[in-house]
Formats: sequence, structure tokens, C-alpha cells
Amino acid sequence: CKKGKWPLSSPVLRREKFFIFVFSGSCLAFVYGMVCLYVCMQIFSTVGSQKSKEVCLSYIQDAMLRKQWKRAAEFLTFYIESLEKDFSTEYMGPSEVIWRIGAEILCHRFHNNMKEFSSFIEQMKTLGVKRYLKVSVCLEHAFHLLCNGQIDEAYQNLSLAESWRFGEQTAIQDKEMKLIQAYRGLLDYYSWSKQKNILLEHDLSVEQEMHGCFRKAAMNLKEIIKIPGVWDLFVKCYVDLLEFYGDYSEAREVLNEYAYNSKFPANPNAHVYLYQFLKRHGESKKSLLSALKILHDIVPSHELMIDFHIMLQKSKKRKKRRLGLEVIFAVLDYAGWKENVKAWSCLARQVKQIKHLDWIKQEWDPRRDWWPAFHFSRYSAKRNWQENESLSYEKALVAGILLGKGCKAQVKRFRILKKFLNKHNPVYLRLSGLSDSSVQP
Amino acid sequence: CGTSRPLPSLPAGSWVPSVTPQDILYRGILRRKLQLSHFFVDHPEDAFGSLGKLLHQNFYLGDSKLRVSVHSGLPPCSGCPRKNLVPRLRWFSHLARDWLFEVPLGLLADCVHEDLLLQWASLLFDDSPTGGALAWLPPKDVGARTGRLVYPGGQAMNHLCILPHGVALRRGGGGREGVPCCTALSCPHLPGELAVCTQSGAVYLWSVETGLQRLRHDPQTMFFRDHSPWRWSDFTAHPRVLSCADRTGLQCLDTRVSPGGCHFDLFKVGEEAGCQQGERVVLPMYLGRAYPSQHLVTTQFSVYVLDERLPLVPVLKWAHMMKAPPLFAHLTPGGPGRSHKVLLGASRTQELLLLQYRGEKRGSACQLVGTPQKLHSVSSCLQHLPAQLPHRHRLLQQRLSAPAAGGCPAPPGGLGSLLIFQLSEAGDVFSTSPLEEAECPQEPSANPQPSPAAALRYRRWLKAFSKVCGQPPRHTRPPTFGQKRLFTRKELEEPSAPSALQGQARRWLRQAMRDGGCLQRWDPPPSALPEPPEPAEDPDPLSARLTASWCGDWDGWWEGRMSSSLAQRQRALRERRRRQKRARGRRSLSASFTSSLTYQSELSELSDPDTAPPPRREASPPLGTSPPAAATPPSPEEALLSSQSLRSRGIPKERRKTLRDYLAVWADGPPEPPELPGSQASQLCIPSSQSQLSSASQPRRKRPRMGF
Repeated sequence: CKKGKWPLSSPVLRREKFFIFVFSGSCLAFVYGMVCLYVCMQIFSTVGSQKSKEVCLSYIQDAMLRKQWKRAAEFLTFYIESLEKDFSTEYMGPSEVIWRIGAEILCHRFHNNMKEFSSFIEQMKTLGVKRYLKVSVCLEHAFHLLCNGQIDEAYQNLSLAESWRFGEQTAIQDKEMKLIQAYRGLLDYYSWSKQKNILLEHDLSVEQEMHGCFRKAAMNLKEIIKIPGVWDLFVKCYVDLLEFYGDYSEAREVLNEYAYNSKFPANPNAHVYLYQFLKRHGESKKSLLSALKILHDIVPSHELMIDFHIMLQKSKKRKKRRLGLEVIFAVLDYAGWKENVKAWSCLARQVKQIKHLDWIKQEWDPRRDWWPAFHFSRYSAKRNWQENESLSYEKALVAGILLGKGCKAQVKRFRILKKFLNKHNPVYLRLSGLSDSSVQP
Repeated sequence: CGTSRPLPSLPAGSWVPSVTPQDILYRGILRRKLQLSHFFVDHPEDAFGSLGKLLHQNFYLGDSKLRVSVHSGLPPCSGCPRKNLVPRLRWFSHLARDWLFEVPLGLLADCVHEDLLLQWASLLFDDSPTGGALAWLPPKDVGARTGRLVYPGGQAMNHLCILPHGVALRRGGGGREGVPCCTALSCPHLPGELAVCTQSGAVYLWSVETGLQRLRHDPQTMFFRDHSPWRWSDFTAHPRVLSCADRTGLQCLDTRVSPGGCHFDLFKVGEEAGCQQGERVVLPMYLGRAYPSQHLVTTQFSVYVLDERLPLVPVLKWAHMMKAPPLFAHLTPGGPGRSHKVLLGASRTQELLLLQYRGEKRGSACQLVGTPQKLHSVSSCLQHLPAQLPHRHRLLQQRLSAPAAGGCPAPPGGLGSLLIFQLSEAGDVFSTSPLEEAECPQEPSANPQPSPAAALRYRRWLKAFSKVCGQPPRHTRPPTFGQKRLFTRKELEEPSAPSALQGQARRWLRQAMRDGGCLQRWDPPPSALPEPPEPAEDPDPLSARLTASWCGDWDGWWEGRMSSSLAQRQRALRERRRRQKRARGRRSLSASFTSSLTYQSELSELSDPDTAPPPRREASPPLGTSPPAAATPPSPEEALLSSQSLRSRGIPKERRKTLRDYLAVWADGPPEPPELPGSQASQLCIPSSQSQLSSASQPRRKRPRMGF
């Protein structure tokens, strides 16, 4: 737990004291600190202006969380004034704090007035505080510009940030610089794809410019995806660029690296991209299945598992069809798939085929104790029937076969369902015969 | 602005406020050496007051008049430590005065020290209210408007209070949901299943049919070493997979395989999540009602949203900047395509933060929507309550600023907006509603008046509150004991025929009153003048300490003391206490003053029990002239003064101590001095007819030693 984070005295009291400090300068700030020390008994080591700055920040935070933007702005002014008299050297520069607070206040108070915002940014750059703006602030500014549709300005901003070199280059700064480059690459990609569309409309004049964009984008994007991390957006764009120019081997290599390099976090999206790439280029079933198999191992509840299941069912190999059944059962284990008609119809189709009842039994046995309560409760049957009839049919079919007579409680209110079930009853009889008497009577 | 002030629902019963830093700290800084070496300077009244009062008549301070009123009770100094402690001391003395003196001092000191450490740790961060103790049960039928609030109540949290919102309170027996030592969360997927975990690091799945199934047992923390025994468990998107958490991160355990078999790490305090140094998990929560695969993890700095499918890398991170770590969180799922609301609450600071987030809508990233909103705390409605007398105001303030024990949102029913309930540790339930989409005035008025309906509710709550804490606080005066309470009338009447001794005493008394003099006969013969203090060979520890601290070398003295073996001293102390216990009842008056020594000097003296008891006359009032009675041989009558003899005389246990103390004031002389002239043990021989009046043998306990 963080030290020195104690509630102060009553808010009213604090505010009065704070105003004294603000209007009388740093000497009183120290006195205020001492008063705090005496009254509150919780301040451990820091005395004086550091504490009052913290208090000031907490007021700003309070005002912002209550959407009192004007009050927050006033406190921010005080905060900046107090900083000018401060000589401490903290790692987290106060300029970043000011930037964040100021940006938030401006966004809400002046309803995203870009002119106000730009002047604020200019002031930030010349602010007489002891620390230079970190590059990440610049990135955030670029995001803000992008959100307001000012793509060129954002691009300019990023280029400017790239040219900044302040202080010693720490590892973090280096990484941030890579990130800035990557986002610039992303903007290059954006203009590239705009020009590509123009080109596709048979306007060949932009071709040269488009290639320039490609080169810049590819160079920047390539750098970032070498660092372990989650770079879905950059990888997608880079692969798109490569594919357009027909460099499939490079694209495949990038995707393989992204999916299989153990230094990267286990990212299901990497396998999804690889699968989609392989599918686009008409790769063999085997490679598609192996990509999806890994995805299945990582995320058994992924949307692509339905595709995987269907592909496996079409296979002629017993082993793969067995895997297909496993996949669909695993999908339906998850709460997110509970009401998915597609998945239920897949399973229903599987259990209707009377081919491999022993497989079904093997899958059903570990689920016997919790699937009935999870899927086939009376409550869910009622709700499914009200909300989605087709889902109800599929589930009733599965329940009828897996549970046998036990499911009659679930469906006895619905005559149509009952009739429907009776039609498929022979399957249950065979299944229950096979799975001895342990199925619910 | 943005939210309405909290409105009270019902006040609970009386409440003893929990420990505050002021109770433990003295002037905020626990620096024993410095504090003690300056004790005389900082607290002259305490250090010299009593001595001065005893002796002031004997000093000639010039002809100018003294303007000090001696009898004014507590000195009116602002820094008086008793000012804050008096109510607590009253409670304590009420509870403990009958047995506390029986506990050996060393043991007691160890226990107090240990408890102080625990209390202090829990003041820094108390994780017992994690998860919150307030829950909202939605109405059974979708259309119905009244859901139910469920929270623990009663003196020992042994009642489960079910509060239909807006209707009277109904109580039923039950247990507390969030027991501090472990957690039990019910399964959102399957009825009749609970995830249970204990502080020893075991995680269980409990179900109605199969009972407990242990999934994990590891007293160590998961990812790196952390001292906290706090554990948590919850469910995940897969009904057979449980998450378990400690301060270092979250893991998911599969119940279908053997314990310790299959698990994966969901969240780890470390580089992947960009955690700060010292960051620890405070509360994990499964967000299944919003997105089936997402989890919320709060730390003291940030809020993370994690996806089971992409573990370890948070899909959302936001620095919450709350003053205290958020200990409870509640999710109110929005409809499809709408944002979900998450309520974060801190306990001690009563902060409540309402976030809105949206995530995983095909292609879009998980993100916060709009600005987070801070709700008014319970203590902020103090200004809406009518003006009170100062002491009642203080009580009210204390009550309203009780730490929060839980908070939960009640989803909007029909047209109503979201209603947020807060439960305080005192058991009060308050409700707030954030005004959604409302245009806030830029500046809050200084003191906005509540609506008439709200004002009525405040008044009603206040009325009930004053009924609960009805008696005006009487802690302004130190506790006193009346004679009437000490004895029944029968006991007072008992000596129907006064014995010869009593008759003699009365005669002396009358004589003395006639003469306007003192009862000289009770004093020892005037020839026995107080002996001058013997020049001690080695100064006793008390004087050594006083001398050292007077010269400003208290630190050195303390170091020297501390360097000798503590264990040895404690052993010696225990032995001494045992001896004292055995010898209780045969102590002389002068012996009673031995205990007026402080703990440390006693300890040090005990470290070598062979040395004779040091002279302590400077500490004793000039009453007794007899030398210390340490060498007194036991006499048969002593046993009569023991607890047993008092019990056999029908004096209840709780009165014995009081009786001894009370009588210490005037039963302090040898009743029959002529029979034992010059006897060293003269004070001990009290006739059995008077033994029920006990003696002054029971030493008066000192205040806790200065070191704490």
C-alpha cells in the first residue's frame, strides 16, 4: 500500500487552507504543510510544497470527476504557478500531468475546439518547467488530432516528435520512438491505401507517390513488429502492403514469426491472421487445419471453431472427425456460446448421425454432471423458447438424445417439441443402450 | 454536481468506531527514542504534575499569589492525549479492569505490541472488506420494481439483513457472505456451486451434490513472494474453470483435471501489464455479464480489463487515481451495443467511482466511454443535516465518516435511473443516484439545499440515529465510583456491634476532630523519622534513567538497556509475577508502591534478581516509615486478604479489586501499632474482623509504558 495516502480533514477545511496557500505564496505553502502535519497526523516524510501540490492535484482530480471543468482549470493554473517555484526532479515530469489534465479540460470545456487546443499545445512546448515533454505525450496529441480528422497535422506532429532528441536515450524512450515511427508508418499506409483506390480507378498519376508511401510505411512497420508484443494492427497493414506487391513469402514469414515466435505473447489473433492468409492464397487443407488446431488449443471458444468443426467433419479420416466432435463440444462449454444456434445445430447434426455413439459417450461423460444444469435447465428452456425457437429445437434435440427421458421435464410444455423429439427417439435408445444405465432414467 | 447527495435509508444500531491512527500514534510519528527523551519537555504536566501537586504546599514560591487551580481535573492544554482517548479508555477500563492486572506485564506488553503492529498494518491497508458486503438482488419478475438489498448486520455481523428497497427491514438468521479469512462466490453459470478459497492458499469448488473439491493448495504466492495471505477466487467463462488470485496475480484452474494439473496465468503483476513497482492485485472480478471472457482486476494504482483468450496482456488499463485502493467493484451490464457500467469503491475514503466501458465490438478495441464520474460520499451529506450541538455534531461526523463496507448499483427499473447503494461500517445504508446526461452547473453552489422529500428523509434518519445513540456522551468527566455502588446496604450494615477496635478507632477519630489535628495515634511513633536515603552503591535503574534523560543521554541509556537479553528479562519477569501472585495479599503498604515503577526499570531489576530491591523512597509519598517489606516472613493472617478469602466472604469478584483500591486510601496504617511496636511487618497484621476491608496490598497499575 502506498504510504502517505490518508484522507485529510474535512473538504471544506482543506479548501480554505488551500486558498490561503495559493494567494500568499510559497512561505504559506510551507506553513500549510505544517498545519496539515499537525492536524492530520498522517503525513510521513514530505512536508511543504510537495504535499500542497499533491493536494492541489487531488482537487483537480475531484473537480474533473465531478465534471466541474472551470474549477478544474482554475486549480490547474494554481498548480502550474506552484511548479514554477519548484526545483524537484521527479521522473514523471509534471509537464505530462499538465498535458493530460489540460487536454481533458479543454476537450470538455470548449467542446474540442481545435484552435484552443493547438495554442495549448504550443504553450506546453514552451512551458518553463524543468522537464521536457515526453514523446508519448506527442503520440497522444497525434491521436487527438486523428480523432478530429486532422490526419496531416497528426502526421506532421509525429514526424516532429521523431526528430526530437532530449536528454539521454533510455531504453523506454527508444521503444516509444519505435512506436511513434510505427504510427507514422500506419499513417503512410493510410495514404497509400487511399492512393491505391485512386489507382484502381485507372488514375495512374498517383503511382509514383503511392510507391513512396509504401516504402515509408513498410520501413516503419517492419521495425516495430520485430519487438515482442501485440502488434495486430501493424502486422495486418504490413501484410496487406506485402500482399499487394506480391511478396507472399515475406508476408508468410512475417505471419509465421508473429504466430510462432515464443518470445511473443500467445496471441490468438496471430493464428487467425495466419489462417486467413493461408485461406486467401488457397493453401492446402492440411496447413489450414494445422493453423486452426493451434488456435483451438489456445482458445477453444474462438469463432473460427465452427469453421474448424465443419472442415473436420468433411474429412475422411476417423481421427479428424473425432476431433471435430471434440471441438464442437468444447465450444459449447463456454458461456459465450450458450445461445448460439449455429453451434447447437452443428452438435445436433453430429449426435443425429448414429455413426460413432461411443465418441459421443466419451465426450458426454465428463459433462454429464454439469451440462444439464448449464444448458438444459427448465429456466433456460423456457427462455430459449420465448426468445429463439430454432435454438430451442436444436437444444431439445441434443438434450433428448443425451438425456433421454430426463429432458422431458424440459420440453413437456411444448407439444411441438415433444413431437419433434419423438421422431428422433431411436437415436437415444441406441445411445442409452450403449452407455449402460448411467444415463439419467 | 453530477450526482445527488446520498440519502439515508435506515440507521442501524449502535457502533463502536474502529481504531484511528490517532489512537495508535502519538503526534503522528512513532519514534520512540526521540519521543521519550523529550517527554519531560513535551509533557511537563504528565511528568511533574502529580509530584508537584503533592508537594506544592511545602514550597515557598514568594509572596505573589499562586493562580493555579489544582483541582481542575484535566489540564486545558490542547495537546492533551487523553482528550481523544477518553471514550476508548472508558470502554477499555470497563471491559478490562477486573482481569487486566492478573496478566503478567511482559506477556501483556508482547501482546499489545503484536496487536499494535496488526492494527497499524490494517490501518495502512485493511483488506477485510474486499468485495464489499452489500449486494442487490434483482426482482424475481422482470416487471417488478422492488429488488432487495442484502447485507450483514447485527453486533457481530451475525444477521443477514434483507431490505426490500423502500420497505421496512426484515431480519433472518444467517452468516456473513464475505468472511475475512476466505471468500465464497457463487457460480454465475450453474446453480448450487461456490468457489471457495482460504488464506492458507487452498482453492475449492463446492457444489451441493459433490461437496468440496480441492483444486489447488499452495501457501506460497503464485508469481513472486508476497507476505499477504489474502486469496480470492472467482469463475470464468468456462463453468469448469476457476480463477484464483493472490496479491501477485491471477491464475485459471481447470477442475476437470487433477489438482495442480492444468492451469494458465491470466494476470501477472509485471512487465506484460506495465505494472508499477509495488503494485499489487486488490480485487479481481469476473465480468461475465458484460462479456463472457473478460475479467476486471484492480490494483492500488490502476484498473485492468483482461481477456481470457489473450491472457497476461490487458485489453484496457486505466489509472484510477483513487486515494485508497478500490476494494469493491460491481458491474451493471448495459444492453447489447451499449456501454457497461462499473462501480469502484474504496473503503476508508468512501470514494465511489462510476466508469463506463465498452469492449470487443467486432473490430473495435476495449475502451472507456465518457469521463468517469465520482459520486458523493456518505460523509458529504453532513451539511444537509440540521445544525447540531457540537458534541452531537462530532458524533454525527464520526458516524458518517465510517469506512464504507460495500456499495452496489441497482439497475434502473423501468424509467428510474441507476441507483447506487452504499453501506457503511456502522451499518447505515445510503443511496445515491448519478444524474445521467444531466448538464452540470459549472460551479456548485456553496451549500445546495436538499429537496423537501430528501430533507424529510435526513430528519427521519437523524431522529432514529439520536434514538440509537440516545444518551448524551458522558465521557467529559473521568469515571468515578460511588460508595453506594460498592456495597449493598446489607454489607454496610453488617458490623452491627462495633468491635473493640472499631470503637477505639472512632474514639480516636472524635478526639482528633475535637482537637482539629491529625490522627497521630495511627502514625508510627514520632521517633521513627524517615531514614535518609542510603547512598546506593549502584544507582537504581529509575534514577539512572532519570539522570540520563536529564543530561540528554537517554538514547544511550536505552541502547544499553536494550542490549541485554530481552528473553532473559521476560523469563525473570514471569517468575517474579508468579512469586508476586503467590505472595499477593501479604504485601505491605510500602510494597504496594513498588509497582509504581515503570516497566523498564522493573524489567531491568529483574534481570539480576539477586540484588536487593533498590530504594525507591523518592517515589513514595511520605506516609510509610517502614523499610521495604521484601524480606517479610509470611504470616498466617495474610491469606485472609487473598482473593479466596474475599470470595469466601461473599464479595463478588468484580468488586474485590475495587474494594482493595478504594480502601487503599484509608486502610493504610497498622491498626494496632502498640501491639507490634517497631515491627518490620507491623502493617500486615490486620485483625480478621476487618480483613473484609482488605488492605492496600493490591498495587495500582500504571498507565501503559511510555515506549508504546
